[in-house]
Amino acid sequence: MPRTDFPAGALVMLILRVLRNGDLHGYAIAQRIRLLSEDVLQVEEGSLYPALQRILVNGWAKARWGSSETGRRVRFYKLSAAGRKQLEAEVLRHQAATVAIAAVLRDA
Amino acid sequence: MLVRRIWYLLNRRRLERELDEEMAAHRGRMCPEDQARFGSALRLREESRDAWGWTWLDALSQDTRFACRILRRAPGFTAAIVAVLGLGMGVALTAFQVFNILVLRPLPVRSPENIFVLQRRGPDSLSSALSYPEFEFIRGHNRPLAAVFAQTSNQVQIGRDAELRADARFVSSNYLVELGARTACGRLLTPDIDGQPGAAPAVVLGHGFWQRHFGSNPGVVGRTIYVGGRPASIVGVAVSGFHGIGWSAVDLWIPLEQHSWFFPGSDLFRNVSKHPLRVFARLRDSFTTATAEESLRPLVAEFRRIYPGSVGASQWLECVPAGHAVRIGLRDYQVVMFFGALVVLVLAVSLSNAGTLQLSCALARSREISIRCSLGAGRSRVLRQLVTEALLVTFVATAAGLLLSYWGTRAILLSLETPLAAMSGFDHRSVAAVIVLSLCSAVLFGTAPAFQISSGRSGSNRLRGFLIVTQVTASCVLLIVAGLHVRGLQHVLSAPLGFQYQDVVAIDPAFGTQGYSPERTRLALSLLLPRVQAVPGVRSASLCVMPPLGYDFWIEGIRATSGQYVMAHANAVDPNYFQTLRIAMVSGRVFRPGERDAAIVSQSLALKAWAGENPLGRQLEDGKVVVGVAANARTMALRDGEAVEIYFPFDAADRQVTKALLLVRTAGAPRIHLPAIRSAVSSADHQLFQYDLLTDKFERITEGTRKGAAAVGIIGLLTLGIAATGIGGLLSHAVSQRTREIAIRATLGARSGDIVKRLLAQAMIPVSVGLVVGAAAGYAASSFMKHQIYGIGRLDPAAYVAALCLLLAAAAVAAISPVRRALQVNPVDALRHE
Repeated sequence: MPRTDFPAGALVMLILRVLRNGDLHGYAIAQRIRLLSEDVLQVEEGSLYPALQRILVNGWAKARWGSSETGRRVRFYKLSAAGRKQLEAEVLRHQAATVAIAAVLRDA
Repeated sequence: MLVRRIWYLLNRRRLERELDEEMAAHRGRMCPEDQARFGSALRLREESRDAWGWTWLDALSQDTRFACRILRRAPGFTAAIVAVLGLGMGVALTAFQVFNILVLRPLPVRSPENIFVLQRRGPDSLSSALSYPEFEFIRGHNRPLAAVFAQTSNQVQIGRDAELRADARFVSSNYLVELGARTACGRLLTPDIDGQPGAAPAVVLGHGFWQRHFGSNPGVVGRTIYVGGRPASIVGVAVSGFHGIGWSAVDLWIPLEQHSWFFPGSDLFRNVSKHPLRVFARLRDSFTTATAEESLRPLVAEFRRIYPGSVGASQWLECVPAGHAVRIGLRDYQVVMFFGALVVLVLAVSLSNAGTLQLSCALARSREISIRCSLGAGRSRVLRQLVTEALLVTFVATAAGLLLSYWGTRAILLSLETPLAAMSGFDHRSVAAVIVLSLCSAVLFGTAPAFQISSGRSGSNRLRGFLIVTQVTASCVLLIVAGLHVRGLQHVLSAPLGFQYQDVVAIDPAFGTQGYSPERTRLALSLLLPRVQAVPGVRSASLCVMPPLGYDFWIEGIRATSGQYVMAHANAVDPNYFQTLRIAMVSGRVFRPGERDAAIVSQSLALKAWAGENPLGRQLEDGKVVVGVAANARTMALRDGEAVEIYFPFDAADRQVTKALLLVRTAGAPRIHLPAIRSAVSSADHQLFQYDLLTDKFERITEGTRKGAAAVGIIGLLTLGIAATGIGGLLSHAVSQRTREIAIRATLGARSGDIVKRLLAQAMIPVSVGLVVGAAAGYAASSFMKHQIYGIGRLDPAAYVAALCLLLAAAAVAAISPVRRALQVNPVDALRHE
């Protein structure tokens, strides 16, 4: 299956979603998304870090320094309460949009 | 959110480092083929930083740094623009600040917002002052009013020998307490002590008076001071900065309840037809001005019942906010608007001139700007850069303007002799005005040129021409206004008054204020006059009722042949009057002693009322017969162009006798003879006598016109200078733009006259448009000023011609250097350059 471009705006939602299962660092976030989407969604690393900064500035996640499994100093992102709420809101909005799009595709 | 953003801003160096480290770690984990996809670390960092939302700040600081460099590189240009803008803003801010302090700013007293002046208002009448009985009546029945207090001002002589004159304010004994005054030493006036009948006469000194005449000695409390010859004890000194309600300085605070001690025989307490008191009130919480006025209505009716005829049937008491130094009415608004318009003109000149400067500087940079554009700077980016520069210049100019306005405001307030000068600092209104003004200036002077340049069009000559028209128009109006002022002043100073005021002393015995009865006055006068006439050095002495060169007037309507009435300034004078003031008799004679039913008219009046007929022997409506015609003299009609005056005999039997005024002509400088005159009258009740030299009076009465002419003149000349530099700038820009054209013309054999003509044509159009529009606007302004300033005619040719000539001369001077440059263009050099 070919790698697909990322739907706009969805990246933040996906990052928040994978962070819900535990704290991750940047590389791990990208890997996890790629893994879960069965290689379809390729996180463009170039867009990962701006998105992470936006998440931090908005207070949806907190960052702390730790060491990775390979022993490098990396930054772990931890979902905050505000981030949890944001995630729920975005998922709902996304689902509504998906349902609507599907309806149009089906009946048009 | 905002807090977090600011935190990001403050810690961004560290955060950037962390981001770099994090991304490096990420990159390290990737396989080599993917690493290439990661992209430039620099670009990523930029994009990540965008998420923090501070890019604009970076751009701003970059713009500002760049603007600073640009402005520093051209210090002359920057200084010129700052000076021009600063001047305009200084004038505007000064005007606002004076208005603010006098009209907008609450007085430094307790709760100024709840002070109202009570005025008696009728359908077509307004009395802003009330009588003492009315004040007392209101004070006794003050249901809607939380407090009632009153003031009235008097000039008094201080000291046992009346060596000092002071401005006393008689105030109800609760006044100082109500206004929250505090004392530097001693106590305030209080109703419990000073308001009681039979209380010991007490005086509180004003702070300035205490400093000037008592050397700030706290030991004065308890001492005796002679006010109008009557002893009173000083009980306290008010703090500096307290001057009650109004804008003038107060030397002494005296309890109104003790008025009769200082003016024995005064009928202030009983007289309902005299209205000397300004009565103030504080409203109770539950009342608005409307409900208070409503509940005061029955009070007025009741007062009318007790004192029939004292108050008109349809009059009511009006509550008007009074917590400001000056309360301006409808008529004053016109004056304020007029000065506001002048200020706007000054601003227009300075802004449009700064605009021209900005334009020429930026055009000189068009190469730089086109390079920036070709390097990928968008139009908005270039625009932002130019606007930033304008803002920066405005910022510096605002600082200069603030400095200027601080001194200007102080100077104006000091010349008004108001204690408010000590409070000429800035408040929130001033700050708002400064911000609005500087933003407007930045937009007006910076934005238009910036748009013009960033759009890359070369049509800037039209904008430039428009800016020149603005400058010329505005400075033309200002010069005409200034010219009219100067002409008015000239008129006041040089137009013959028709009498000699030099060497005349006016002595006001103030019998009326002292409460003299007509009988007592007659007695005093019969002793006084011979004594003064006997003083060596006194040429002649005379009695009259209206002071020459005064502000008061007495107007009589004289029936003319046509049946209409001619309004004439009237005075009652004794036979010596004409000799004392050196007014010649044209025909007829002066009054005979004891004569009653006679009148003397001025030549102007005779001409106006009975042109072509013999005025002598004419009977006036009240039976008086014209016995003489005096040469035209403007003894009272200083502010009228024509000396339409009429004189009636000073009649000792008349009720007016208590208004008697003594005029004394001395041989030579009157100041030398003043002590002798003083001692000659010393045995009479002289404590309240006021001595005034007519020369001083003349100075005082023309002072306002003089100061006004000076101020407007200075402003007019400054704007003229600014406009001239603008015209010079326009021309020299034209020369540098057209060097090649001029060179080609010169090579092809054009004579220098042609070149100059073509060059000047470019400046002549905007200048002449400006002159025409300016002259028209000046005409409009002068028709307004005609009513405000004495001696100003609507079409005073001298003022217009002078203004136009000055502007043309300034334009010509400004043109000299560019024209010379154009003539010196060396065709070979000029063409080789291209």
